[in-house]
Order: sequence, then C-alpha cells, then structure tokens
Amino acid sequence: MTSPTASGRRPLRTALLAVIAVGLVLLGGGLAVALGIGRGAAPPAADSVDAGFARDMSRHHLQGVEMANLVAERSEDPEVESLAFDISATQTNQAGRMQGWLVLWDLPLTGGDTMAWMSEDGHSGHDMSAGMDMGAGTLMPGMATKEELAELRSLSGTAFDVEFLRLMIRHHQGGFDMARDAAANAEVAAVRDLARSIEQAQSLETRTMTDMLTARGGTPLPSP
Amino acid sequence: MANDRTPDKRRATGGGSSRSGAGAGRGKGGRTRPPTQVVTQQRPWGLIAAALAVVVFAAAVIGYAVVQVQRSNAGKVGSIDEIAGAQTFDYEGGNHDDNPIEYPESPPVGGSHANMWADCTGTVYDVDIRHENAVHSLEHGAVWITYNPDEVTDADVETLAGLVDGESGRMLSPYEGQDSPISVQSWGEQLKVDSADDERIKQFADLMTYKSDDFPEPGATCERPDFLADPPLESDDPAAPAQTPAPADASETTAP
Repeated sequence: MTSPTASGRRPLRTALLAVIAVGLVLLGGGLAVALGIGRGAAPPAADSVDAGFARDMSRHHLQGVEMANLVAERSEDPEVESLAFDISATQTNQAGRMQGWLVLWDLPLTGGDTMAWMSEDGHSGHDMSAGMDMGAGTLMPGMATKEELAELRSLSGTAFDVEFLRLMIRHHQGGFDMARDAAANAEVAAVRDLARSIEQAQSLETRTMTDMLTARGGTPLPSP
Repeated sequence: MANDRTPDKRRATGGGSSRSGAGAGRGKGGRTRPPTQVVTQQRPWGLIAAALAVVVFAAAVIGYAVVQVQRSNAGKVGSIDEIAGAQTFDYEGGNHDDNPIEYPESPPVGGSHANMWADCTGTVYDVDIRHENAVHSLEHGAVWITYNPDEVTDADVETLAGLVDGESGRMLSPYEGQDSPISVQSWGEQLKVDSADDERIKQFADLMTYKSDDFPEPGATCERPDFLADPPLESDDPAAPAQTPAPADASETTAP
C-alpha cells in the first residue's frame, strides 16, 4: 500500500517553508532599515589621524586665540585689530568644532602623544629625534613659549603689533604641516575638509600678515 | 462495472496528490483488487499559518521602514543641484582689496573683496551696502538676499526680512538696478527669482547658510559691529572701479 499523501504533500510543504524562510529574511532586513542598523561607519580610534589632528590642532588653535585676544587692549591699529578679531573668532569656532568631534567619538580632548599621528614625511623638517618627549602638552612647531607670551603681553602700540605679527606668522607656519597631513590622510571627510580649508586660509593669511609686518618695519622670525 | 469506475472518480477528487501512477497501475492489472482506502489529504495547517504570519509581519515592517525613510527625506534639499535655476561659480577665497572692484556677476558672488566684512548676524539693511564688503561676508559663509527696491512691495520686503532677521549667517539689503526682483547669494552660488513667496528662497537659505564645504573660511564670524554702526554704501564709491578676474567656470542647474 503506497502512502497516498507523503509524496503529495512534499511540494506544498517545501513551498510553505520557502515562503517562511524568505519572509524571515525580508522581516530582518526591514527591521534593520527601520532601526537604522549599519548606517554610519565606526568612529576613528584614539591613535588615528583624525583624532590626533583634532586634539593637536585644537590645542594649537587655542594658543593662537590667546595671542589674538591680547590685541584689543594693546594695539591701536585698526588693521591689526580687525585681523586679530577674525583669527580669534574663526579659530575658536574651529577648535570647538574639533572638540565636538572628539566628544562624539567618545575620546578624550587631551592627552596622547603630540603629533604621533602624523605620517613619516609629515615630520620632515622638524627634528623628531629620540629622547624628545612628545607627551601631552608639548609645544608644537610654531607655538610661542611662555617667555615669548610674557614678552608679548608687556608690549603695546606698534612694538606690540610687530611682535604679534611675527609670532602669529610663525604660528601659522607651524600649523601648516599638521593641516596638510590631515587633509591628505584623515579617514573622515569632514576632518579632511576642515584641514584643507585651514591649510588654504592660513597660508593666504600668512602672506597678508607678512605684508603688514613689512609695512610696519618688521621682519619675520625664522620659520619653525 | 461500478468497481471499475470508482478508482477514476477517486483520482479526480484526490487532494493535490499524484495518484495517477497508482491508479494506472491498478487500472491495468488490478481490476479485481478492491480500491485502497483513501484518506483525505491533510493540509499542513500549522505550516500554512506560520507562513502567513511571517509574510504579514514582513510586509508590515518593510512598509513601516519605507514610510520612515520617505518621511525623513521628504522636502529635504540635499544639494544645490536640487534647486532649479541655481547658478554655480568657481571662486578662490582670500584676496583682500580695499579698492572698488568690478564684479562679473550682479550681485557679486565671490572673488576679491574688502578687508571688512558686512555684519551678517541676521541683519536687515535698508541701504544698498557696499558690495565689496558683502562679498567678504559670503566668504564667511553668509547667505545674502538682495532685492530691487523698485520691483518689490513693502510686504515682499517683510516676507524676506522674516527669513533673515535674527538668523545668524544671513543678511538682506536693497540692490539698486538689480536685473531681477529678488536674488539670493552664497559664496559661488546664486539664485534669481521673481517672487518673495518662491519656496526656493528658503530652500537656498536653509541649505547654504554656513554650509561647511562650500565657502573658504569655515568657523569665521559674522559679527562686525563697526560695520553695523556705519555701513559703507555702494554709492560711496566713485565710478570706474578695478577689474576682478572672472570665475574659473560657471554652470547652471536646469529645472528638474
């Protein structure tokens, strides 16, 4: 006696199992879209170019802001005052932007080896020999020393303007290599874009400041 | 011959099972054999119910996901290409020049500009401010809306002011002799429209105000209190200004 139903039921069972399997896959896919899973890449790591640039450049910027904020009380020159206002506002905003990224990436705003994120050729021109402690808080190229800042604060009038321009030109030149490295090597597009605009805007500003310095009888400091 | 007929009948009513083989076998040599017991085929109800349930859930979740995605994208203008009539020009930033400058576009959208930027902290000007200062504001990410004072009504100006007043990164000013009633500018972008109610004005402004990769100086400030206190006017400049280099290229988006 043949079993009448076994061979008969198989196609229907198979079809139903197939429908269930496909249905579950579609269900899973639909849930993923609804929950936004997989949208957005993982954040950069603490030792990435992106994080290193955000930490170091924001610290570099904040010293620039500190110097620019001295101008209002010590200078009488509208052109220098206007320049300083521009630098102060722009670099404060950009430092905030970079710190915001670090917060979103769940990374500390400080710490880490200064400039360790830069590529081999990014270091060219600077003496990065062993024994140089590049821990957090190390002065980056172009940054003013405590003594230089104290000297700047003690001046006023044209003498102040000249010293301010000399320090700020060197400051911009120092930041340039970091910006160029990040513009080429950062993973996140927004980081590369900001680095590129810093690279471009600051090199143009350096040219303007050099003209202003010459017009006031000064000469630039040796580049960092 | 009733016995002969029943196997055929059974064959016709059997539920989805292939019994022709068995039937044929029986037909040929099994005339005298009694027909085997026919059990009505059991439908796999459990499996059918499960399949139906999964399909219904999948359809519901997918439907929800689609609606969610559509709703989040609705009305969102993602790029300047989506605004019909917007023109793009390629300008480099950074060139400061306090002389009067002749711009290829009217109103200008980029190029050399004055050292002092026009205050653009949501500022509504009632004078034709000096264009060279306004271009510097564009470099700082501002959206500048201009109107031809002879071609718009006071109500139109009110409407435009509503988009600008108090909105950091925007400014509004009259532009004498403008070739369209209203024009909206950001660095390297321009849209000319006829009506203050054109929805593209708000779309342009919302998209382009401080739009990060589209102007040379992200983070720069729109504050300029000394400009606000005593704005230089376009009419202050003498005739025959210096030439500014034309943009590298210009392109226009066509209507979608």
